[in-house]
Amino acid sequence: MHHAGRRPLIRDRAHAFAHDALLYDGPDDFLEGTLPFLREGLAAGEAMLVAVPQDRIALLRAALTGHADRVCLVDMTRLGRNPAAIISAWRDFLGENDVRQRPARGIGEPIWDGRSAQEIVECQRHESLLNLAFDDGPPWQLMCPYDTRALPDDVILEARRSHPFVRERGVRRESRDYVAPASVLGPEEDDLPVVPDRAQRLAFTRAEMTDVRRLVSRQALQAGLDEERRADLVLAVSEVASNSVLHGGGDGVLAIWRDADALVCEVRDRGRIADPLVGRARPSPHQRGGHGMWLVNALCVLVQVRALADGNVVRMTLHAR
Amino acid sequence: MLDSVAGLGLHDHVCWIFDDEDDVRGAALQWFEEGLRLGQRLLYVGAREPEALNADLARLDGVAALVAADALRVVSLPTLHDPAREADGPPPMARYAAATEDALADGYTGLRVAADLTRLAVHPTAWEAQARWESEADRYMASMPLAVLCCYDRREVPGAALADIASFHPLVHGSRRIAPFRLFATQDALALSGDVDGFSVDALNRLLGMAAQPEGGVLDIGALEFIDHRGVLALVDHARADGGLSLRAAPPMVRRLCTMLDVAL
Repeated sequence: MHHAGRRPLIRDRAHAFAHDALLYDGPDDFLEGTLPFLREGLAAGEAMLVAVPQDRIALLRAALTGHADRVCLVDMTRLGRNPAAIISAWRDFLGENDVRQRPARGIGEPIWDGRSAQEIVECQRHESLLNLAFDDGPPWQLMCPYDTRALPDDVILEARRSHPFVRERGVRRESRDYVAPASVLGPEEDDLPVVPDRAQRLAFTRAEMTDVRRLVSRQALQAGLDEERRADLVLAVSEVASNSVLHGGGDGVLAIWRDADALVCEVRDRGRIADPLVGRARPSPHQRGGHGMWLVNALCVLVQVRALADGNVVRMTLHAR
Repeated sequence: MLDSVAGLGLHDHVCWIFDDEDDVRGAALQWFEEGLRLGQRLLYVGAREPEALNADLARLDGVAALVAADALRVVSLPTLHDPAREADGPPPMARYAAATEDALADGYTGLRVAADLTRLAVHPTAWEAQARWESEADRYMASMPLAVLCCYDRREVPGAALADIASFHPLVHGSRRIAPFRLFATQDALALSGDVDGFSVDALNRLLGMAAQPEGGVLDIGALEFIDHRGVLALVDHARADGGLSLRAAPPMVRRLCTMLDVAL
């Protein structure tokens, strides 16, 4: 079947970014899929970063006896708690290791059993954006494990759609379902789930920036966020609202509401976010611009950005815990 | 943001932004009652006729006796000006300093001034000088027992002037929006409080250049309530520049932002 969004395979694997989904059925299959990939990297002396949930780290550490210290193992539920922060972490990894001199490979498992429906949507967006982020960059290999035993079928299907290659039962093949990110993301995206009626709203211009921050601070206090999280959320909302005033038509509307133990803040404006990768690259200290959304992604546990026909929406979540 | 002048001390410097005569008179009376308790000599300054200024103080307890004892002086604004100067310039700081030292020599704990300075801030060419005077006066007040209630009529003073002038007071009464941050003197530093964001960094840089500079070359940022990444980058740039103040007492949010942005404080 010919697919409109199919990516032409014109680039040699060794000179391109290889983005594979690993569909595994339980812990044993996880090891059977990941260990040969890691041993290949060990044999070639490659830089390796593995970001998976804690229990899979334990499996790998036990299986990689004697070699575990040559692989950087990090807890994806921390590094990737906010799915929109993961690409920046991969960029950091590639930047720290000169991948043009020394090949690199990674394993990243962004979706685990227990992720909320909204987090999963952002993870799927992240998976699609990986193709955009690294398509023209240096060659490296990224394998994304998906637990077919724990995750629903639609999540597995989305994995086939966001990865150019799929590995299952020891076989690697091109994904017939792959859809290039351009077809996934735009030009007009679907709106986020509707803002609840109970949300408090505040229209703002630059004159109301202080009011915006005070409202968020007050609500965060009431929601039980500790001082540090309150400060984080106030900063995140302020950065986004500043962008609305500077780049989003001069004004915007803040909506803020509680969702179980979380506080959700949404900013809508009339701007147009042109770059779907906004906020997914760590800014250099000397550059002007490009800091705000990256900070927002680093500060919040969930950040949802959509470019709609009539403007932008940025939704930020922090938990009281 | 200040609601009332109750409980303020010997060194306080307040910007009282008003749009109602009763409000500002009430504040001045309360300011003076506090001064009498503190043992300061009182100085009432205004641009109106002396009779009108005296009438403002009619409700002050024992006002006639206070005037007779030279514990209260009522002065019209022009007499605090250098007569040689033609334009409405700011009252020279030296006169306030001399009056403070006189008060101390006469056995008072210091000098307490309530002044309607609106006239000095209405002219487009004069208000920058008035803002500089405010910062200079603030530096003096940080170490000497001079307290000034600076009153400005928001109906007459242009918004931009009011913003700069209010920013040079540690305490402001009026809308928080007028002066999102304050730049004021402590004994050994210049202090920054309030909110600094991308919309106020230009004003901050400008006022840092206008402010009476502290001898130690230090900017104390411990009282910041909020700062965003643009504010932090501006402060770091300022501190690195030639003649910039060095930063002290960075609050946790500033340190955190510096770490995240990979810039050294």
